[in-house]
Amino acid sequence: MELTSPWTAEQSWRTSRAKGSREYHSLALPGLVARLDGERKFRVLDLGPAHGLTVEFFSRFSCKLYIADLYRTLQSYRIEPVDDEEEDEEDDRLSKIFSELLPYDPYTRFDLVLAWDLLNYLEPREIEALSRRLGRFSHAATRLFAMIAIHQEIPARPCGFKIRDSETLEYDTVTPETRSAPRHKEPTLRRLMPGFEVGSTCVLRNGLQEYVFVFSGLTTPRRAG
Amino acid sequence: MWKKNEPGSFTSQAPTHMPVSQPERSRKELSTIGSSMTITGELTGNEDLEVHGKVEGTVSLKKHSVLIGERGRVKADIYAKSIRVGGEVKGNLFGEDEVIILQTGRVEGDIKAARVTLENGSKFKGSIDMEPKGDEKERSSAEDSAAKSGENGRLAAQSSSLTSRSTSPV
Repeated sequence: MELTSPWTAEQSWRTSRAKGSREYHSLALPGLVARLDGERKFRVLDLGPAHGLTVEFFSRFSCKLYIADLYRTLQSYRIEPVDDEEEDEEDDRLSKIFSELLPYDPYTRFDLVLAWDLLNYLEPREIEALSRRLGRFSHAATRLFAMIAIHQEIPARPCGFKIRDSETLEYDTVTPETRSAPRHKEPTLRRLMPGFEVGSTCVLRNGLQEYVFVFSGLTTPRRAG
Repeated sequence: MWKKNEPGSFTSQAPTHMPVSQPERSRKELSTIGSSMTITGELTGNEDLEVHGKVEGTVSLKKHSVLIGERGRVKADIYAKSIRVGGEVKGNLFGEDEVIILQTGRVEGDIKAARVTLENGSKFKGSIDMEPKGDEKERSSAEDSAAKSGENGRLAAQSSSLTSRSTSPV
C-alpha cells in the first residue's frame, strides 16, 4: 500500500495538500494500541486537537482519553526568544505555562501520550519543559509517540491527526503555508526529553521518522532549584 | 392544505401539527432560556432544556436532554440523559446516553458518557471517560452523580425568566 504523508518531498507534499484529508500508515501505532487491551482502564493523552474519529477509535477500549489541544492553546503564551542571561526566568515561565496547559491531578499517570508532529513546532526549551511536565504524569511503562520530519520543509502548523484504525492515521493540513523543519536528531531529542528514552524508531521512505519513547524516570535534574 | 390520500400529498411522514401516536412524544415539555437571559444557580427539572443565553451553576435534568445552542454560554456542570453542545461550555458533562459536541461547539471540561461524538470543527479540551461499547459497568457512577444533584421535578433558579412551552401537537 502506498505511503503518503505531508512530509514527503516537497512536490509530493504540495500534491497531497491539494487533495485534502489523507491517510498515513503508521508502523508504530499497532504496537502501541496492542498495549491498551487489558482488564484495567488505560489513560491516553492526546496532545493534538480533538477529533471525532480518534474519540470513536478509543471508545472501543476501556480508557480515559485526555485531549490537550496543546499547540493552539500554547500560542497565546508565546513571546519572543529571550537572552541567555534570562534563561532561568524563561525556564520558570515555561514550567508555569505547561503546568497551566496540562493541569492534571498529581496522581494521574498516562499509559500513552500522543504527541504526533508537535515536536517539530516547539522550540528546544519548550520541548524540554513539556517533557518535564509529562514526566510528572508518566510511569515506567508510559509510551510517548512522536513524529519527526526529516525533510527540509513541513506545513507551517501541525497537522490534525486522527486514528482511523490500529494501523491507519488520517491527517488534515490546516494551512497551505510551509516552514523549515528543525529536523531533530536522536541525540538532540534525548537531551531535550529528560526521563524519556528512545524505545524504537523507524525512518520511513516518506521522510517521516516515528519515535516511540519510553519513560524511565526523572533522575537527572538539569539545574538546582 | 392538502387532503389525505390524494395524489401528490405527503403521507409517509406525519405532518407536525397532527397528533403523534408515540406515547413518549405525546406531551414532551421543553424549556428554553432565551438569548437575552442570564441565569445563575441550580437548574433542575422534568423536561428538556434549550439554552440560548447564559447559565452559570449546575444543570441537572437526569432523564431529559439538554441543548446548548450556538449562542448559549454555560459555566456549569451538566447532568442529563443526552447533551448536545453547539455553543460554549466550561464545565463537566455527564450524559447518561450520549454527549455530542456539534460543529460549532466549544467545550472545556471533562465528559463522562456512554457515547461521545465530536463533530468536525468542534473544539474540545479536557478528558473523555468512555465505556467500551457494550460495557455498562461504569455507567452507574454518572447516574449516581445526577441523582445526588437532586431531581425534584421543579425548575429552580435565581431568575424566574424561563419560558416554558409544550412541543406536543396543537
